[in-house]
Amino acid sequence: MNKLRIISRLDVKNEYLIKGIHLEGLRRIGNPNEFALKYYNQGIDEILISDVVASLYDRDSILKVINYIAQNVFVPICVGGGIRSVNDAKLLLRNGADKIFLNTAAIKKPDLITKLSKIYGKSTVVVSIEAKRKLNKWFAFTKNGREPTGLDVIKWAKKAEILGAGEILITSIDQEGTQKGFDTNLLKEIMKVINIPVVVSGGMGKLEDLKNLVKLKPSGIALASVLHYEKLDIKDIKKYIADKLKVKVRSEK
Amino acid sequence: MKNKVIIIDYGLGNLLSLKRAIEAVGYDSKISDSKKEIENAKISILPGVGSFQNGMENIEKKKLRENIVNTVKKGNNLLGICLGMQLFFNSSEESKKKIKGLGLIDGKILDLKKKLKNNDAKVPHIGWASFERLKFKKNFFLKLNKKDDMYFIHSYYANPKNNHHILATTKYFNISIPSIVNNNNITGFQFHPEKSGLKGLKLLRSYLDENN
Repeated sequence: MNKLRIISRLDVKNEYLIKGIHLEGLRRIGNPNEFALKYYNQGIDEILISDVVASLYDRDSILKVINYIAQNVFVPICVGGGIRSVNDAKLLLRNGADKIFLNTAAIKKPDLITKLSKIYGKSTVVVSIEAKRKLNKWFAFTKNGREPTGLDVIKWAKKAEILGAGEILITSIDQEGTQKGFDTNLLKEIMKVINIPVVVSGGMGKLEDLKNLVKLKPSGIALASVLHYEKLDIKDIKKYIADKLKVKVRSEK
Repeated sequence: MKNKVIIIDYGLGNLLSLKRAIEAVGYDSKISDSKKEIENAKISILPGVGSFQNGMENIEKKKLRENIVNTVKKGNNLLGICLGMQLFFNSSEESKKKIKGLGLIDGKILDLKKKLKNNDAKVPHIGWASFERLKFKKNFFLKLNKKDDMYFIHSYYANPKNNHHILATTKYFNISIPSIVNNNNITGFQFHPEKSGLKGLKLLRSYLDENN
């Protein structure tokens, strides 16, 4: 049976690791390469790199970061932010990304999901959805939570699956960076309709936050603040999940 | 001196990570689509991510089929990883058109989705899993433990005609996925050893040590 993946999320801007709250107010944390290596040595299962600037003209800095990490970290690397074409994706994959994730482009040009999945295989294509809650519904946003699209998150996730996505990365903007716990209701609704793996992101603050989340059987959990600020240790998180929540995780013993 | 490992370049797969993983375990490697280099390499690796059809089409486009088959005939070692391993077989349920695989191991590639019975079973199968069964046939197994987790990412799986070609299986819900296959000098890993942390590197090293 599969182990629950513990993923570290690195938001990168001009070669710096940064972190915000609700995807905003970005603060410089350090060198993403050093953080990736540290997490790898501590037993992280996957690394997620998000290019926050994602400008059309400056792809070099993110490529440098991926290239370095791919050469020194022997776990899967998923990269996204600013992918607008097959060529953008190709460049990332050629430089060491194992999977790529789409957000804005997936919404603007949904056929890009299908195209990429045909060329690189379904499992290489992740669709990232940034969700904001309004009453009892969630709506999809782009541009790091700044731009509303009006799309219903649950319907959009299902559509992305049908279009050929191999995995969904769901980020709760409301919880992101707050360390106040996950939006478990959002994950619950997603899990009801989705038949591909789902990775959940945004909100982890303490070990107990995982309790209700893992019951919903996400395929992976992406963490940022708690790791960057050394609030929690990857080993302790895995130990808690295995011992207390009785859910299997990867160990290198 | 250790032989140089040839990574067969047919345009698919994360070749950079594979090259670095091979280096990390003490071997020199070269990414190559040279017919001569493939035929003369003591060890070649066929990597690959993507669809069966796309994979075979790329191999045919580069006219490498014959050379891959020849290197095996000469007694050289061939290691397939993920899609690379699946291409060793005769055909796949993945392609509607009749696409011929390399035919190095008798059998077919099947669709996980068709066989899975549990609602929690997601396809693609993405994540870390250990082994259900190991057959201690090859030496590199001696350093492999049933509990070692490897990284899987696939929607299809191999179904070799002969059971003795299956060296290891990994359970995914109701399916026993052949995770390591072998036919003499041909070996295939369904998972990615180059993406499986220290355990994956250890397996890669023992495979290379044994076949060098």
